[in-house]
Amino acid sequence: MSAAPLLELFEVSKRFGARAILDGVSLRLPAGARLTVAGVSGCGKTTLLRLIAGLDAPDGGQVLLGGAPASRGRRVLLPPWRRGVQMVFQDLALWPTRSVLQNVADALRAQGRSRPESDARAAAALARLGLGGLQRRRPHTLSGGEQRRLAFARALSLEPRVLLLDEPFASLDPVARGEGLAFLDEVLAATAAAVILVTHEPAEARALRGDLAVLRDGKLLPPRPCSDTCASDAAFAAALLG
Amino acid sequence: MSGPRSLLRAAWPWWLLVVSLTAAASWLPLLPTLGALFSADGWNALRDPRLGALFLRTLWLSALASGIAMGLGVPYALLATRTNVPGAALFALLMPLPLLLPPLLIAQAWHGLTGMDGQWAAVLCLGLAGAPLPALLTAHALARQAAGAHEAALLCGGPRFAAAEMLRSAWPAALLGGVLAFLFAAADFSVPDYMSFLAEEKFFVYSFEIFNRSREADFRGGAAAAAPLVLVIALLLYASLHWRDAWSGAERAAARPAPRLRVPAGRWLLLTAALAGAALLLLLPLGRILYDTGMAGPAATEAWLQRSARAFSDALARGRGDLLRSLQTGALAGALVLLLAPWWAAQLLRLGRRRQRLLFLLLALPLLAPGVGFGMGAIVVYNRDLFGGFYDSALLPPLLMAGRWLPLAVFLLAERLQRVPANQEEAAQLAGAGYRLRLFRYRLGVQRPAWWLAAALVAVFAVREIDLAILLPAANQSAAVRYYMALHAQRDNFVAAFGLVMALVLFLPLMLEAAWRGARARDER
Repeated sequence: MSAAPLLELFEVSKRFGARAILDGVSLRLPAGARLTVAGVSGCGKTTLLRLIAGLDAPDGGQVLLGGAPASRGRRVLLPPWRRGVQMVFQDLALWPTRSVLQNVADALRAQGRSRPESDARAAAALARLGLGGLQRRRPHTLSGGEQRRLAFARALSLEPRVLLLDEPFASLDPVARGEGLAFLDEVLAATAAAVILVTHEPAEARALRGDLAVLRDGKLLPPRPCSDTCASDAAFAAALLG
Repeated sequence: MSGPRSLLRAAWPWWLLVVSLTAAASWLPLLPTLGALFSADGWNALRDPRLGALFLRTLWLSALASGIAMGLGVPYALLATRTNVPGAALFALLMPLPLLLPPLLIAQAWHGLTGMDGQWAAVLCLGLAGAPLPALLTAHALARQAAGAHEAALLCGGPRFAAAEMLRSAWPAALLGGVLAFLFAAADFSVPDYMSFLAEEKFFVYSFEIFNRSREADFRGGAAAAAPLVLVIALLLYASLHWRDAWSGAERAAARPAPRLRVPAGRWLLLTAALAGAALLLLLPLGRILYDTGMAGPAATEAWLQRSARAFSDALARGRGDLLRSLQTGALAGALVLLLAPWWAAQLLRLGRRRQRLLFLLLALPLLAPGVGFGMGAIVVYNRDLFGGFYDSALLPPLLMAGRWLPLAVFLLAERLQRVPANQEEAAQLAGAGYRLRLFRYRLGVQRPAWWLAAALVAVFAVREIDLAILLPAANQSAAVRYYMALHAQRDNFVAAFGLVMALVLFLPLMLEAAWRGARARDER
């Protein structure tokens, strides 16, 4: 990671009541980098993503995007919708009253594109992810795997600088998860965004490739190449638990 | 196991009791109305051009009232529940209160405030009185929006896009609320009657046609005349339920509630808008009624406060008996609903969407009929030798009030029971618990406050019901009828004080529930 950083976190901290979830987390991520953040349940992985997206304000420290301060101390300086950050949520956060096409096209229109252009781009994005024939369906009528593809299509169609993936394959059965991991590789090959994946599954970390950083006791340990730490489930567990 | 114990353990004797009571309370009084739908005479009556025009005018005026209700209720719900307006909790608390007031009280207040009368005044007052319906349903739908869906919208397009997504997710519920406001407006008799009474140029709506038959003692004809209105409103309600179900196929209670939309620069603008909404819906009418308690002509010598105190003392002295009788009716109606609502709510949740809608419509029929039509049906059915002294007894009004307002309780309770995971009941079933035990201990057990609230709401609606009580001799000596009579007799100080005493009584259950919820939230913290 020698290129100029796209995303920087300096001594970021976040508390929930008396408990310090993040305690002086620092991170530098260049454009196009791939990072898996792993940790046990409740260690603050999702909180870290929410601070990067600007959905929550940190209690201390600083978040910079492209060198410009995005959050400082308890203040969100750059609102979430101006950060160029998109997120695939753990529960996918699809809009249940909108069709598959509208879930993507609405997001594009919100960025100021015209309706025909939005619809065309959305249709192309859906077709790339194998959802071309399902445009008129509503999200809840799709399978779990298809819903995940839709969530990826929405996030990627906005061409984010940073893509945050919050355990996107959680709650899938092994077969669907296998398919999901295969398509993750294919999908991410087409984006120049820096990607942060949070998970506690070694297979997901291996699929992303890139580096692995472990979040433990509120501290983010220095990233190490996934080829070392994720080579086996045992090595991953050892890295996770320390 | 055999004998009475096994009989009590089985579900069917309970179902027999529940269905019999529901039939007596809800469906029997509707027989004369529904019978008209299957007779040529009933349809022929509508061919009368005067009646047809009256019918269309009622639909048109009710649609306008429903538009006003939605135009005020939906933004108010958005402001109070999903923005960072200062005092949001207080605004949310005020939201249901106008619904608990008799619409006639709101009409009295607005006439006092503006001097308006006639049909447009009736439309405005019915719109204001019905605004809590779309507001409450919208607020409920907004509360169910998943936090992730809101945040994804915020990431994609900022606050405006997030607000649009919020409204999109709540729109079917808002529309259902609008249909309910339409229903309340179309079925109302007391407000148009009052506004027409005040106006120089009289106007007529369909419920007058039904009511006027009572003057000729043609109760069967009056009940039958209500049939077209029931039919149209039933179709509308079914369509809006269908639409809501189709739109919210994937809707489920959000694990994490969506956050409020932060509008840092516009907080004071939001506060102004919320205050304006609260003033229109509640504060101005109540303020005016309070003012009326001490209002006097130019020759009066006493101060406002003295006159007001005298009016309250007069209201309590003269109206206490009626108020107590109304409370007794309300309590009995609530108790009956306490028994009936859980069975129907649980049954609704066992059915597929289509059957669910049909069963709900069947339960909602007494609510779809104008109160005067329902009352006339009750007179036709129960005023016979067969029922002995029951017709004139104090038991008939609570039975009918329970039947009329049962759908609201079932609707509320079904929504709450839906939140109880099905596997909790299944675990009890595997352990050998019977149906009644499973329903009351394992499903209702965790939703007990909603159960009591549903019954309390029915009690409140029974107390505030004017249209049905005017017609039914056994319900004539009630607070609502005394209020109606005094208002038409233009006894301004007394009627204002009595109206406020009624309002206080009607607000009490909701206030107690809110206080209890607040105390519980503090304990949990």
